[in-house]
Amino acid sequence: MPDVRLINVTKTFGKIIAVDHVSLQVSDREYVTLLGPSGCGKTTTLRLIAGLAEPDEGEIYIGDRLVTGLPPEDREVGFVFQNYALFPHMNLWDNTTYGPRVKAWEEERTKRIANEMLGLVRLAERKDAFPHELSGGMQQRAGLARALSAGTNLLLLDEPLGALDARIRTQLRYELRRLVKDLGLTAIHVTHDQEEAMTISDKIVVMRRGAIEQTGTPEQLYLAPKTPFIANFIGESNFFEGSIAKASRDASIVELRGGLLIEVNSIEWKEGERVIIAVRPENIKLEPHAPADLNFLPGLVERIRFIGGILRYEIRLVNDDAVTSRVPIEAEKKFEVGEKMAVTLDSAKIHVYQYPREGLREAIKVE
Amino acid sequence: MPPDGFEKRTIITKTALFAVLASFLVFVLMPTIYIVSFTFTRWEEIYSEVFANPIIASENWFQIQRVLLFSFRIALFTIAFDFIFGIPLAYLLARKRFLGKGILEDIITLPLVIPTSGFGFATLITWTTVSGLGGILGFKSGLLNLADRIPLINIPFLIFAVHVGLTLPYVVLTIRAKLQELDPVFEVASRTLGAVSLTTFRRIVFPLALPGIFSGLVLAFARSLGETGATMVVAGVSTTASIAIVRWVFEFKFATASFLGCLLVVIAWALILPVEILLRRKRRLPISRSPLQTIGIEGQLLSMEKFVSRRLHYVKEVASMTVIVLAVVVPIVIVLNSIFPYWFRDPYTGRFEGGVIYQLFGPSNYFGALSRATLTSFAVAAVSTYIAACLAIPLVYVIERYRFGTIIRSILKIPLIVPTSALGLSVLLLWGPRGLGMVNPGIWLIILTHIVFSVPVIVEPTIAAYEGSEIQSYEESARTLGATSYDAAETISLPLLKRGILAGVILSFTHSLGETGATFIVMGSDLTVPTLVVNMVEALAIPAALFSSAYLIAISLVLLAVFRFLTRR
Repeated sequence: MPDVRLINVTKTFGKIIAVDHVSLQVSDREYVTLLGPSGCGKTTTLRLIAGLAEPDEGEIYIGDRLVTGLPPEDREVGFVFQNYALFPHMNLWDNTTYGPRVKAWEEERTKRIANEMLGLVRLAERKDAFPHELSGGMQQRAGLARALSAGTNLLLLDEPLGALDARIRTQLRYELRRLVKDLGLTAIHVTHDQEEAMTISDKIVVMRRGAIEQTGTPEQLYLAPKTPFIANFIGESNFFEGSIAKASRDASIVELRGGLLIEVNSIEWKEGERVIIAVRPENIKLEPHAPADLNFLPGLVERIRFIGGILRYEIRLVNDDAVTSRVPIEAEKKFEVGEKMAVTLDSAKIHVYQYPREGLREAIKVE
Repeated sequence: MPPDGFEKRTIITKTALFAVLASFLVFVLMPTIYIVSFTFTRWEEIYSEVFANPIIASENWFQIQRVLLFSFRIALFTIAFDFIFGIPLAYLLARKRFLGKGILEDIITLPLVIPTSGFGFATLITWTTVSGLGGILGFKSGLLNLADRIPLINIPFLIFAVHVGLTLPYVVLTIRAKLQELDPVFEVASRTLGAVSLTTFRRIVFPLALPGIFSGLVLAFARSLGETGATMVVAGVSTTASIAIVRWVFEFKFATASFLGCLLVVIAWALILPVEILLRRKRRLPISRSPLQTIGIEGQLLSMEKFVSRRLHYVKEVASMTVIVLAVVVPIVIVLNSIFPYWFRDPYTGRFEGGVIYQLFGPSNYFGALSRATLTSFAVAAVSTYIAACLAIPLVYVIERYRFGTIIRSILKIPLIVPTSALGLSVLLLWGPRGLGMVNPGIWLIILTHIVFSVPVIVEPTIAAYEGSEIQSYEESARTLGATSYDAAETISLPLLKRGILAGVILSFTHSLGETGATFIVMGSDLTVPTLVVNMVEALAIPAALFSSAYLIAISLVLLAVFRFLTRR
């Protein structure tokens, strides 16, 4: 039985459609991330699930219960806020026991669960501290403990790591996932940071302009992006515009600007159709200079950037298209800036998309 | 810059500063506290009249205690009522958006500027005459009598009604401001943890908003203590402290009146200073030990709150709205509406003598009095507002520029809190025949009195406009371009502040038009419209009072509409 179900949920604010007929399912004990640029509707969706807003259309189920219309205090979900929202006039202990107290649990049970949660987030010795005495990372862990102490199976997190320093963010990320998995909870986590999403999720739901672009595991999204937007938003992609020069039973040939030819495994195309092809930088290999051929594109190294164990080559092809290639630093062949060379592509690792009606730039725009 | 020019400028700045501060001292501060120093300098006089009177021993002192106690009781119950019904309103205005919110805000601000005697009169006819609620509900007479008291607490209903109406804005607006500062995310967090809205209010909102709630209630308490104008109209035979001052001045018991006035001024200071300090505090007082003590009743409390939040969802808002409507809207509507039936004759007895026209143009010739009073009112309002503005604008500058400015700003709140009759008496004692002897009771003394509270009324919106805008950065950029601070102020800030200043001016003008208590003491034979209304009521010329109140209230409403138009962005 899926733990959370949204069926055709829509939410508008005046003329703005924040969430557009969204349907999604989260299974029990799954760690799901809602990922997307700001304004894509991910936070609104989360708030709809929590009951902090009511949908204009559609239904929301948590477990077996239809929760649309129920106020947040009746939904039994734990909510973790971006800016922690710890009650400033209460110390950590009172903050953590707030949920149980407000539900009139017995003192024993309250103490037990609060101690357990504070222990899990490693804040047991700071019980008496007030929020302003704690660091950002501690406050977020405290917020987590508080949400968990209220006794819930569903944890909703609204950009929980957004207000933290980069280092703390990466540390806390893993703690978060580990905690959720250890306690057997279901988690729905909202973020705009794709690296965060990729590292901790069982499943990612990419949203854009109020609708779901694609749902899948991190691998699926990375290796099989369904739209140019996903190819660009998740990881990095090189894009080329072209048209189908030849369509046959096993493969197609795409003609790029300047007559360069690329063979792709994708076969659902008609001759003459305009397409976009996307290739990830790590799938662009560098070769010594030679004349153009199928999947072999000559060019010139414009710039090289050193990023830890990787070299990033920025290459200008003979047809004026720009290409980025990522090569491990131990690679045998190394090229200099200004050197003429060529790139090769593996036809199995190329994604082909119909040319978007609104143009490539609009289609991949993150806003 | 040549050194000469620089020195000259500094001298000019220093002189200007001195002039502004001196004027502030002379025209605002001294009149406000003179009554206190008077008590000290004339102590023997006061002692002999009040405590050791040759004829009546310390009877005057007993009288003072009696009226003070009465006023305290009224104030206490008023703020209790305000607390219960004002907080839901404040919360509504701070958090929710709904159709008609602007109108509700305007209604709540009304009592701050409405002519108090007119408001008193409107309340009077609403509750005690057949033209009011009595008639609307089908009775042949008014709903209540003038002297009716509220059972159990034994306070005259009418006095209570006007005090609630006039103090509710202080409570609602102060708490609303504090709530707006409070991040709503805490309430959201509380609800996701399972607390219903009432529990969230008790455990989260209330503790965090406490400074605002406390200040609002203290301001309301002080306002109630000092309320004169409306109370004069509805009090009948009851006497509050501020009314007592007026009565004793007219009975020439100056010493008793000024001693009481002094006490009231001291109390007002004692109330406002801690509140100002409290409001300035940014650090929160931790109420860490959440009611563990009440764990016993916490369970029952929670279930009660669950019940109320769920079933009686909007009851508190509806109740609060009803209070506001009954206390403020209904009287105003009734008084404005009643002119028509009363125009030619008393609609109930049919007699001409009971009609507005007869009373205005007949033997009593109130029309003449009303015209003169109108002229006086407008003249006073115009002149005092103009002078006050000339003082207020430089004062705003001083407040913003210098560190002691915050003290000045706090002092400026005092004239608004001090009982108006005590203020009037203080001015009379300072400038009048018994003091410096420079001005006799009459229009000029009225003007001097009105300046005292007009300055604060203009300063506050101007400061709000200044602090809510980017004027400081504009000024700074002007100065880096070479402008002197005076130039910057004149060419940059002043034009940008226009709106705030204009709003303050209109507010001051309206307030001055409607002022009753202080004016009564210093007016001599120059009546203003609000004081004329009081006289009309005492002479039982009800239709004339009706007409005068209605037309004064109508003018205030128009001016308030202009004010809101200017301040709503």
